[in-house]
Amino acid sequence: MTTTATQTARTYTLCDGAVLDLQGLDDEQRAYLEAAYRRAWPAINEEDAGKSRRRCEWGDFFNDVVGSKGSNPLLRATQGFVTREIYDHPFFQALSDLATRLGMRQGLLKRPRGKRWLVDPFADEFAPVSEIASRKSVTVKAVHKAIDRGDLVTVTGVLDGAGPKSGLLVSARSAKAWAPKRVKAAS
Amino acid sequence: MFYVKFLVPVTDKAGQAVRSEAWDRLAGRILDVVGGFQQTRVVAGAWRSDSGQVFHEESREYVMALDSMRQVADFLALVDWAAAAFAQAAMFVEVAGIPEVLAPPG
Repeated sequence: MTTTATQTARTYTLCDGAVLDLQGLDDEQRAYLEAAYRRAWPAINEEDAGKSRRRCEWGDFFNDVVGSKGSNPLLRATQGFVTREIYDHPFFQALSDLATRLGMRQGLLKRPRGKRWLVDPFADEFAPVSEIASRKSVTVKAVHKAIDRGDLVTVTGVLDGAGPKSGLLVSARSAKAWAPKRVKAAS
Repeated sequence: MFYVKFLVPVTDKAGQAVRSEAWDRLAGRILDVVGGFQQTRVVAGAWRSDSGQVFHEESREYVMALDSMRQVADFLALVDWAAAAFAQAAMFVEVAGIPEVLAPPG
């Protein structure tokens, strides 16, 4: 199943490829992130930097969503102070990432090589553990260990789409970012 | 408690945009040193160097709250690190309301 709608998205992929688990976000945070995405994404995809600025200017967006005098609900409780807890929060990380992509489009941040920063951050698909193990050429046990370490994002339940899938499902994008350590067999 | 702040231009002294990782490292350093910061994007600013060259630039502003004067040294070390990391000729800083455009030591 592929998810793209922000209200139901379970993951957010940062432009460096790291995958955030959004399942702990509350309703207010989800609605805020969706509004920020709807505001920034068309401007990120606007190839002309001038037109992009007219759609959604980086500085205004930055100040509003991650700035201390903006409207970010996480910063309300700290009078605008970004603490380690806030900085590492998936909600804040996702908003910062949108601001980063906008800055890249408008020439205020150096763009990385490739087009990964233009891939929809909410797009993801979920696959059973066994399928992920097969894709990564590792054992099922190795996948479970990675899940326990927090290297892979999972969901439980039944997802529809190209055929129902049930049980523990793994985010394909988090699996893509995961680099399993290869252990050399003893000779 | 008193406030300190510094401005970090969004482009280096050659006018080039910097990588987003540099901003992440800066935030990480600030959090390690003082535990928190306020951030805003400053619209625009200009300053004249000792050689008379006028620099026009957009900056991000970082404000931190310090509990003791003893932390000022850590703050200034952070500013020096940022000047090097962001390839800046000088940095605007403010300590308890006292402003200065600070050139890196040496």
